[in-house]
Amino acid sequence: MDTSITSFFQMGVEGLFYGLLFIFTIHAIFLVFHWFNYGNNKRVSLIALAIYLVGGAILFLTLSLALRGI
Amino acid sequence: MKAEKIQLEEDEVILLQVRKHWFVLCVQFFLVLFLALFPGVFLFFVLNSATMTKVLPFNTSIFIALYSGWLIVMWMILFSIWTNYYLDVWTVTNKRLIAVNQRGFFSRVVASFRLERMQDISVSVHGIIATFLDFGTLEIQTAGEEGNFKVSGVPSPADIKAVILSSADALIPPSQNAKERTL
Repeated sequence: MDTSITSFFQMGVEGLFYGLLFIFTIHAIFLVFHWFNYGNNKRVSLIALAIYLVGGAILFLTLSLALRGI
Repeated sequence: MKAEKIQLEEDEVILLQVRKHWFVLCVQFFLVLFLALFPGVFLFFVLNSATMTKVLPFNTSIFIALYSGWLIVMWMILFSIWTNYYLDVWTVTNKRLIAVNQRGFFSRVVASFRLERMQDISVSVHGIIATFLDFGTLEIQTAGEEGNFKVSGVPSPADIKAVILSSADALIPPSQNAKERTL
């Protein structure tokens, strides 16, 4: 593959990674605030938070590994 | 938790707490699932197409990176939907009805009215799925400024109506009950 195209894609995907990480963090803060302030079951909120973070971590890990492979 | 800080009056007991029916949540989840899977197939064929491979040989890493980025967005949407479901609660006590309506992250309406101010309560179930799975719309008309309370996608609406009516009946003095019966 042409190196200029490769570096272009790498930069784009890297930007995507950091942009999504920022949005995901803000979103997680909003979710935690709502679940623990307004939710009526702390256990459900904790389980939901664990699933959200683990799922998110797997997806971000996949994205970062793919980023290395470009 | 703020939900636990609802100040119950003396002798006030929570009779039930209701969220929307699971089917309502499932429909939204399946829509997100479709949106999550469809672009993956689309992206695969676009990146793998003859015209694209001339400019850019198919790169699995690019495909995985773009698709996992899309899945992260869908993951966030999924949990936003669940948050709306989780925080929309109707609480029926033996004296009041408290309705919490969460609309997105930054809009939340908490309304309550006393059961003796209730004028009319109606239940409507429309469609095959709603009939079989037993969910529908519950609408309550109240006297005064509270206006109408309407919630759709409620599980077992007839049972909830029965609980509200029996609680309201218990609050009305027996003499007034007898008067209403004679009218």
